[in-house]
Amino acid sequence: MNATVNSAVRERMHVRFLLSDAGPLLALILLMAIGSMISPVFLSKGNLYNILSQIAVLGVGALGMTYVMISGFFDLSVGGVLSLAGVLVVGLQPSFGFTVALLAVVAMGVGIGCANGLLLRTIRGDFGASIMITFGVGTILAAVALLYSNGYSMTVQYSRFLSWLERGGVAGIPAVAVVLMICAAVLHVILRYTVLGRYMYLAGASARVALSSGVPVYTIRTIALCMSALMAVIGGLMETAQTASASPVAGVGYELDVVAAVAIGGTSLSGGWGSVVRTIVGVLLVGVLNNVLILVGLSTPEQMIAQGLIILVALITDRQRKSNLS
Amino acid sequence: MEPILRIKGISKSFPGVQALRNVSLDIFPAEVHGIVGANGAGKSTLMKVLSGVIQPDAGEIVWKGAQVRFPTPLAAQRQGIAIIHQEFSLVPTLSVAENIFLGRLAGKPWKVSWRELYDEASALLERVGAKVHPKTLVRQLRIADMQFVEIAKALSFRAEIVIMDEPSAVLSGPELQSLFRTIEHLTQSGVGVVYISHRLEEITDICERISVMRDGQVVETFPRAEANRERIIRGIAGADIQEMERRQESQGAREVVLDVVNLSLGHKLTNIRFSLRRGEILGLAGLVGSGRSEIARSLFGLEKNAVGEFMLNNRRIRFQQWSPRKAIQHGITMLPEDRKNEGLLLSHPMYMNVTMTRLPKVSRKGWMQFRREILAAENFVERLRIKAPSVHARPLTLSGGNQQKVVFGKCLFSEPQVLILDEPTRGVDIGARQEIYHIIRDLAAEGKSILLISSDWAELMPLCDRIIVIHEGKVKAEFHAHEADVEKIMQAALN
Ligand SMILES: Nc1ncnc2c1ncn2[C@@H]1O[C@H](COP(=O)(O)OP(=O)(O)OP(=O)(O)O)[C@@H](O)[C@H]1O
Ligand SMILES: [Mg+2]
Repeated sequence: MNATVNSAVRERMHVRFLLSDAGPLLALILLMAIGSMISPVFLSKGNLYNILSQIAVLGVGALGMTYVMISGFFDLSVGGVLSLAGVLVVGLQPSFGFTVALLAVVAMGVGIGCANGLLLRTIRGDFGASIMITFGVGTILAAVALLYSNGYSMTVQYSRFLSWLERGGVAGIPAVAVVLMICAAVLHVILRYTVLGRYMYLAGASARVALSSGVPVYTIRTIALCMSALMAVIGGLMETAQTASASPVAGVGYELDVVAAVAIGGTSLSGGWGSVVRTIVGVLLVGVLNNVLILVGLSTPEQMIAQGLIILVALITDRQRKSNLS
Repeated sequence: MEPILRIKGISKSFPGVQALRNVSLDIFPAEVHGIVGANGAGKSTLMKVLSGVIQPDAGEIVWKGAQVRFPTPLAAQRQGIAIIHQEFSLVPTLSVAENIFLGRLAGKPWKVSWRELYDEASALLERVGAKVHPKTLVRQLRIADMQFVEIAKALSFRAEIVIMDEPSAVLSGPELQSLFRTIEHLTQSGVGVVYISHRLEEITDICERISVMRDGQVVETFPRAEANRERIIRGIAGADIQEMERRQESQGAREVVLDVVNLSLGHKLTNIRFSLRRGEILGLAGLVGSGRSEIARSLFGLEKNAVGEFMLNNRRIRFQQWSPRKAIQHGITMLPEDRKNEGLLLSHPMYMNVTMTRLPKVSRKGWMQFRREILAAENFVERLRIKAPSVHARPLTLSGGNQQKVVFGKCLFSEPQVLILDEPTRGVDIGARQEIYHIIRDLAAEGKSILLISSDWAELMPLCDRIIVIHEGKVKAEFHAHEADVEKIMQAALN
């Protein structure tokens, strides 16, 4: 009798675990089913194309943030990076040509990531410190973007790359989504299959244990911050191409959208857990939800409410998963 | 006399493990009831059931003649059952006094009466013989002092039964004596004590009745009069265990590997110097707070304020520029005393814990080789007889002693030339202890050097070539193993 009770308990735990673990994916599938029932347009080629091109900017940022969050930090500077990358690339292009402008913003991204990392290393910062430091850096970057552009949106002169980003594509998939997929694949492979990736998890699981096991915690986290800034630069390029202009306030609020998408996918806010696949699911979930809400004719505030609700649900299930595990 | 607590037919299983099967046990007032058993035998699980931390799958608890259920730890406390857990449950960022009276601060809901709180805490700490100030943050305490705070906390409930899950694992000499005095006071005032330990001398010294657990069952219970070491060991292991003999005179003078020229650390360490030779096992003895662990931590680069220098293979190294990463790269690894905060990633799989000290060994050109990683971890599970469903199990679900073995495995994995062991056998059962001793000796025979800290002085003597005694941050005495005994060490350690 005992044995049957036990196996029933185990069964239930298993189901619960599966639900909370695969929750985001199930939610995505459910949402798509609902979408296709509500609106005949939902599964049309044009609409899917739209969804993919709309999630790309959010998606690349979320990929970088995944690294930062797994390694135990937060990066609130990505909004500033995105704005600045946009106005710089547009501003530098006339005098130096697109290639040089591109290299310059990429270098800027890496530089900002390193600066974030070095600042945090110097003060031996923890998770809380990373929020404050990257927020400070991000605020400065946003201000620099405003100063550089005098507060105006700057009109893009399309180079070949930017116009490919805007309307190009591969096999019916928008170019921005292709870039997103390539980034996701590369970052996934690094995270899952390399020593560097393993170090990310170790650094985030417990900095103290990792440090006393010889893991170069701050170096690893700096690499994560560089990755995240670099992804925000790519996001800036996409945004610029898609809107035909570079706005110095393009990145306002970007950092929190990105964090939310990562968290919705199920990557832990406290570090040490998560994956690129989860993040992609999270990003798709946000994208599809917004799309469905538009299709049924809801307005922006209602979309925001829905998104807020999802974030709450995601965090609550995250907590529950943790208490199930222990 | 009537038993105050009767346990009848308790069973409990976790995914993949039957931790308790049909356990029955009686606890009487005013007795010390010893519980022994191998790592993973189910001792802690049984105590968690008794204190309302986990719920049994079957069976009943009878408290003072009436059947009861303890849905929460609070319910058990209210009835009069207090527990000192094997894994500490103190809040690091709160003070000692706040921890002792957590959730029960004196005064009114809107105003804590701090004076009263600190006074009561002081009184309790004094009663258990702890030398800590009630205002100190728990974070700043040493492991042994945390143990005393846990004991004081359990006493503060005025319980009728106090369960102590391996309270002595980090104590030695006079600290141990004050623990025993506390237990005596308790039993004199009619309190029953359940005492779990892997140190058999203690069990036969202080327990009136002894229960042996094996594979989730209580296999026998007998009074002290019938107890002897052999019988207990046979009960625990189900077979005899060959205990280690004293080490032979060491083999000639070998070259010095590690030479501490001078080491100071605030007011904790002053001018420490000693050297460690190739193939040597050097013991560090001393009381809690004497500075043993600080020496180990400084050599591993964990003490940021350490000053001075040491020679490692004739290379001069300054303590200020040392870090754990550099230490590991230069062949020094340390097993930390605090396994929960510094040793293990409790909720990450065991294989990740084992290999983290040296990932290059299980990777090629930066790519992880998962098969090799799993095999390497499985190798340790087998060698150290870690009781776990698989290498994917999370340390959180392992018993205390088995967690300790994982930390030990992790240190071995980095293949150090100098191995610093701070309480390597903490909470490890008597069988696995022998295994660890053998490994330590084999390492020394291979030419590795070992710095061994243990509060179990009886294990230092057979294991070490040399023992140095630390007293108030200074090297007080040095013995060759064959001339050392517990008396001499105690004398030097006390002053
Ligand atoms: N939360 C848990 N989840 C899964 N298994 C568990 C959990 N807690 C304990 N176990 C398992 O139950 C068994 C008994 O563990 P327990 O902690 O009671 O051993 P113990 O006798 O206290 O050992 P030790 O001497 O090492 O402290 C072990 O096999 C352990 O792995
Ligand atoms: Mg235990």
